[in-house]
Amino acid sequence: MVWDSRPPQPRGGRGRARQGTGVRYAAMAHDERFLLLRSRFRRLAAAIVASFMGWYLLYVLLSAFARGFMAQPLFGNVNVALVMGVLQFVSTFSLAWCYASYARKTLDPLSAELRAEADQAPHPPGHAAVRPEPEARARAEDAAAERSPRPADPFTAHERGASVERPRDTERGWPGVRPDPGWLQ
Amino acid sequence: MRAGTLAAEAGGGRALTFVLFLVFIGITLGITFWARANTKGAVDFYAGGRSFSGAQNGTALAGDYMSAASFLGIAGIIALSGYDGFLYSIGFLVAWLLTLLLVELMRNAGRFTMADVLSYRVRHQAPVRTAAAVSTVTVSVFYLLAQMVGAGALVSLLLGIHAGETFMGMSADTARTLAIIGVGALMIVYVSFGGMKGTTWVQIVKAVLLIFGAAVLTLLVLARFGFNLSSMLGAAADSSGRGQAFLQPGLKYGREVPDTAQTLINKLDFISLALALVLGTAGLPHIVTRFFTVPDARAARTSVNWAIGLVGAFYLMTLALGFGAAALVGRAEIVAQDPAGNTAAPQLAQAVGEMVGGRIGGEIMLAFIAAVAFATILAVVSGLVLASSTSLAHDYFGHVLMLGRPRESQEVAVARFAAFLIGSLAIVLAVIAKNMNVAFLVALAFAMAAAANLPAITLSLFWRRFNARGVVWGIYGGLLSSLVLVFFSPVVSGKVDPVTGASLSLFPAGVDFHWFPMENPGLVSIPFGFLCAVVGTFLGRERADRERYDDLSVRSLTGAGSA
Repeated sequence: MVWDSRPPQPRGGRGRARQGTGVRYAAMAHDERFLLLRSRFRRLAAAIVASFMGWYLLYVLLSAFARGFMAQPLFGNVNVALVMGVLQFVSTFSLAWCYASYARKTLDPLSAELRAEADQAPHPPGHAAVRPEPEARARAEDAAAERSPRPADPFTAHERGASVERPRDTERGWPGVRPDPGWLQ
Repeated sequence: MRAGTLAAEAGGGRALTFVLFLVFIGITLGITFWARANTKGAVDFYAGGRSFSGAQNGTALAGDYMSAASFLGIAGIIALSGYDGFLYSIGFLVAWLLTLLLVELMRNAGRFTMADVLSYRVRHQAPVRTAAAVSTVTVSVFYLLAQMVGAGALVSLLLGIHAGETFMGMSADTARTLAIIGVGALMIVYVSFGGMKGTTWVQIVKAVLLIFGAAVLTLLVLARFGFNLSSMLGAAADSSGRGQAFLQPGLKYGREVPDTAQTLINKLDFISLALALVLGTAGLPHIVTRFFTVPDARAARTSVNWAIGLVGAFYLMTLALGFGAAALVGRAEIVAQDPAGNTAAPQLAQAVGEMVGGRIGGEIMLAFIAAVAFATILAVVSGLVLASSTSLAHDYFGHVLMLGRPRESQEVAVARFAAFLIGSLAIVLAVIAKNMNVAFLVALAFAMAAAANLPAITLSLFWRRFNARGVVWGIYGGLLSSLVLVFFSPVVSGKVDPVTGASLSLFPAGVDFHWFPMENPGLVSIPFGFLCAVVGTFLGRERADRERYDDLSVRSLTGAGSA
């Protein structure tokens, strides 16, 4: 679909206030699967931040204020401070591993499903209901543009759209021609 | 007895060092010109065509991150101040967990720069893009300055040119200037010709060299002590003259002095540094630009995991390098070579090399580690110049001056030229500052990244109400507060050596306008940056665009429509 390749900043610096300009995926924000994905990610992120920041700050505070404790020898010349320091490495490696494996098993399948749906569906659920008319027209224009030949000079095909000669799509403030994927992808 | 100077005895070693420098320069220039031929447009120049694998990009991330300050600096601090240097290693590593959590969202939502993510939700991009470009360039230039001044000192030290000595007819001062100009010229060539493709391969080569060099040194040091960590620590403590205190925190940071208030300030200062280290990494411009060089968010996650592995392994090895240098080289000889301890690692290389292969072995190891240090400096400065020229061209030129519709070729040409401008600026500043003690700039760069960039990034991604004024206030508030606090801190004026009375600040002794007691602003400026972002949001008349926020959250979490 045309809007797959659309860059993330579809709006110009002209300062025209345009409601909903370039918004393509907002409707999915209310999809239950998306809410599940988001809450899973946020819960995981909060847990990781809380544990590593807490553990790191504990270590820093002990280094600053509990030097007697940190100085206690454990075996030979190895003291508590050194072991705590090395444990920071261990905890960092394990948290990174935990995150990666949880993300791979639990987050990735869900996000891949949602991504495929969002990128394929011309109408994300509920989207057409919000702004049916201009959206449909814009899509038709985009589709027409896709069929028409690309600009000869790839450098003119900028992210803002190659077609200086084409009128800007007023609804989205975005020229109707699909920008050159070489510049986008 | 080990000779007091690195190079005075190493006549042949100096030539070998020089040859290895030239080999590295030759290889990297070859990469650069290959990359030039393969760089067609903006995606190639800014993001290396988004064609790097997770492992490649992760190695490059590690290369970008492990600066000379961490290789030579941390080894030096551990060698001279013991355990406290290790605190740096830990902060530098733990920071990557935050990066790991943000990298996929940023990769999904942005394309080339941090500003792509920040400006996505706002109606008027120009102020946000400008603020992001200002912050990116400021953080990069300060970090760059620290590396370049260090480069001048190090290259002359590594080539063994001392004050009063001459090398090929140059005085030490001239050699320093020439070293800075040479490093600067090379980094401009790497960036403006090679773009992200060239720079990434330079980083990969450098990271492999650095990890390999550090691993060889670590193995040789540990073998010397029969792979007994405890006996290495014992030897280091004995040789340091500080006894067991050398193995405990407190010799350098959070020092306890008779004055209770000063002790508390020292400890808060240490906490401030620790916070900046752990929160700054995710906002460092040269790290953020590297998020976009991979095809998708999963590859971005893989690359950060690779970086964590490599960076972690490297920082663990700094223990062996630092304590090994303290034990095998000895404090007196390190200080004689460089009072800041930056040559501890090369000196250690020479010492262990001599143990294995006699004098020749020492010279070979010294030359190799010196070349690794040189590669480290060159690679890191290139990453910084690339990040700031990308931001100047893409954010400021492309989206502010050209209202978001420049020609692609124009924007890339501007980026190449911006690399030249920023590189030249850094050269000039570094030559001016070449005899100053600018080591504090690295910590300052981290503090600025944490105070200015982190609030804007996290609130953009997670706070529905956040708006343009919040971004702008947060960035400028964090940036300015860090700068102002450092300017009025003891690192700029008013810190004197209690024994000799010599100035330990930027300004000479006698000039004293400091009122902020801590050397690291992070403890104040990071919360202040967040506060500014929140206050700005509530004072901004612009209502947050709910729909754009929803759109951003779907895109950032699922990767739908990502570039």
